[in-house]
Amino acid sequence: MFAILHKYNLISSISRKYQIYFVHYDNSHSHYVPFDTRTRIENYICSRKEERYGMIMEEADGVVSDMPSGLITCVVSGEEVGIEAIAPQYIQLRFPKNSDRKADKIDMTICFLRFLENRYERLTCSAVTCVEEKTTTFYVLRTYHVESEKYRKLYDFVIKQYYDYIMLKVQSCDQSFAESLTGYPAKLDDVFAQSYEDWLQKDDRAKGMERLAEKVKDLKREMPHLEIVVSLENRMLYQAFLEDTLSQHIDDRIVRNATRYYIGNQFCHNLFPEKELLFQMLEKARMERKQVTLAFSYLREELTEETESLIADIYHWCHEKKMCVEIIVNDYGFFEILEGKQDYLRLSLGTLLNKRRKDPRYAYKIGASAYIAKGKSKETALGSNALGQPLYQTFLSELGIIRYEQEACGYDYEVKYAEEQCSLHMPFYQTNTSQYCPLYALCSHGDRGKQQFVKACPCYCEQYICAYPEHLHMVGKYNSLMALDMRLLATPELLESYVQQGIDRLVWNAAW
Amino acid sequence: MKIVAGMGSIKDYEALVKAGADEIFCGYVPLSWNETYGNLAPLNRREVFFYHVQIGTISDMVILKDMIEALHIPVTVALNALYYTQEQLPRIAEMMAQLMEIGFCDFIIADVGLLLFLSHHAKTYFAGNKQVCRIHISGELGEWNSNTIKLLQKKCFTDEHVVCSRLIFHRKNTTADMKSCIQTGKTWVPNLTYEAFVMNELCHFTGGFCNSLHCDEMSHICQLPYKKVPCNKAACENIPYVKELCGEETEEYIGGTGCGLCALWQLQKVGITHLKVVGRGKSVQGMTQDVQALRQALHILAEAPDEQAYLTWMKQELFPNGCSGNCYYVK
Repeated sequence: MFAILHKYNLISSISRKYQIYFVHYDNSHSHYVPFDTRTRIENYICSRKEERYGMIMEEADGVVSDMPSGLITCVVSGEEVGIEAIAPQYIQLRFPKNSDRKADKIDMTICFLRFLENRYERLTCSAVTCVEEKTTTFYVLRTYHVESEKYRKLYDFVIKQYYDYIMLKVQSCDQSFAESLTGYPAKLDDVFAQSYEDWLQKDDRAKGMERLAEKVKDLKREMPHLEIVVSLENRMLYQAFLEDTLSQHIDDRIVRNATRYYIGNQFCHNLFPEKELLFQMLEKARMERKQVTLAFSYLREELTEETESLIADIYHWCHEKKMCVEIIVNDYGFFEILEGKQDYLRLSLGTLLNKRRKDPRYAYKIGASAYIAKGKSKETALGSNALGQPLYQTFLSELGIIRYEQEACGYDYEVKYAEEQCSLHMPFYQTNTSQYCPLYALCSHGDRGKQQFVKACPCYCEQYICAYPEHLHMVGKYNSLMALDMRLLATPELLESYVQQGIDRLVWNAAW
Repeated sequence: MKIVAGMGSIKDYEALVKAGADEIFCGYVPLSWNETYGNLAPLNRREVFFYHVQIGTISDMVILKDMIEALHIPVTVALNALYYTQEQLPRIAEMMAQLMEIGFCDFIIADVGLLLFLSHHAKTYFAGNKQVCRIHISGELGEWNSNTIKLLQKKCFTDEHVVCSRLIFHRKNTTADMKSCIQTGKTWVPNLTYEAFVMNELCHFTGGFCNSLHCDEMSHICQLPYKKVPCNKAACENIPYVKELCGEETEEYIGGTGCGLCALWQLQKVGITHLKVVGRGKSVQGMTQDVQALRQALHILAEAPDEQAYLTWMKQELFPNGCSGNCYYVK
């Protein structure tokens, strides 16, 4: 716990309010003894010895210095000023040396964060008197006397909030601090599925996906123009497609209603089908009169040449067969390769470039959870992303983008801004991806951090996933973290709302 | 190669300079931003309130400018959130113009949309300033390849008031890829500089593709416990779950959470000009140790006759008892 205090430089901040005595257990005398100097404390922390230690605090002069500006800031004459220290009746401000604030009495507004309420509160103190001025090398410190009961209460609140947070972080060895602050169910963090098969078959997920598939089927019946898509994103599904056994892996209601296939993986360069397999699938889709979208991932520099060659071959095939295919673009460098080919290759903006804040824990996020629960996330900063920027829309449009790939990710947001068409991927959404596959590192080296770029991949993802705590409904699949939109699984009727907003294509990305 | 160090408070500036940093980067998030967006839409990639990770007031930026004039080590401001909304773009441009008035003209940016906005509206925001707005394109933008560089050159820097001065490679770039990209970059801006990560916070996922929370009230998603399990039920094994320490400080080693010191020879060879020491929010003691170690490694690099000699000498001096093994650039 002291490593965390030390790491975040929190000791000096709170130690003046409370005189802190760090103690360690003296084995020879069987009791706790204090460290005699602060230097020894820091040396002790750095050495990380596995001994018992503790902390005793006694209230001292009440001065707390150097609090993070996100927690408390002062505004003087309309300009934000750094707070050097606060005390029950004083506040010390930090001014540039050339600032012209020489007045002995000033008006100030102190803005402090009520963290749990996700808002700032302002307290204006008028005509506060400067009682001391100190010049340092680079700035001037002016201490003001604030005789105000409201200020005293503000001080108490700010210090307690800061102190409580530090102690929570210091005393927690797992997510218990998150539980205290947000209600996050930390105690459930050690409950895991034993296999991906088990994970998929859990009641709330399996039944949810069945309800969702049924809803997709109903929507298709009501709206024949709605495209239903099966996402084929790994070798097993490619083979199943060629062998007509997709229904063994994907809900049959989706397979039967599908009019398009997404072939390829948006997140992993190794999961795109090899050329021969790809053209077999393209040919099969063509014979079945189904449409095709090819999903590409990021473009590694060393793979640029072979990707260019592949795109040329695809374009040539399209030209020969007089068939258009779509290309999902997940890399800005891809546009160069696709230039001049939009007569047969139609472009869609992929998930990796359509960035959005996504995390299954937004249900607990201070400032977001209440809005999400009420279905009002569009009123927050979550409601929009870069696609809402007209210049960016024009940029993408000029590069040939005619469609955006969106995801159902647990909250409402603006899905359609301009004339581009929009797809909705579900029920999984991506939260994280790594070009250096973490699963490969875990399987090859026993350590997810021992990563490297992999080209000849043995596809450990066909045998393993990383299971996360059950309550998060999230797995480490391929080189990514993917979570289920449980809100959609619980309320499939939300699909109607997506369609009303302009979604014209539903992409099913769950498979077993 | 120059050392670029992250700074979370203006009070750390002097110490980082004395430790040997050649350049510093920081975040600036004013109260007006926090009041409007909280930490739901952070201005940069440090998304917390309870730690010293941002400069929070304009007067502190003025003080920082005074420090720079005295100690001559420049500071870049990070505006590297993965994306911004349309509403936020004018606010950011105004903030940048204000910072440029003070003297901060270098910004780290990851959102292509922001680049487009700045280029398109450069005359509105920057024409009155004698300095140009210099952009360091962050690795959080996405993948780096020659084609991306060409596209950015064509589309995102169309006004003389906004120029690209640096490309920052992300954590998952190989030195071979960097070399190829640098060769392309030279055809764009001959004196473009190139930055690579070299110390701390070797994230398990790619920054540009990390959409998850990094907030005060919950840990990073990559620090959640997980368990490797088979896809098939029949293949179940009794594997304990892992409580990940990704990102957590390991004080025992220099660069305990990520280190690229072994790759310095190669980084220099391929054309990297700047080395990033991550650490906004890290203790200043830890950061100064990291900067000093990197400075020492660069000294060894300058003296060593070949790569093997450099590796042997550097490990002997800096890692006599072994290193963390958290390698940025695995061969």
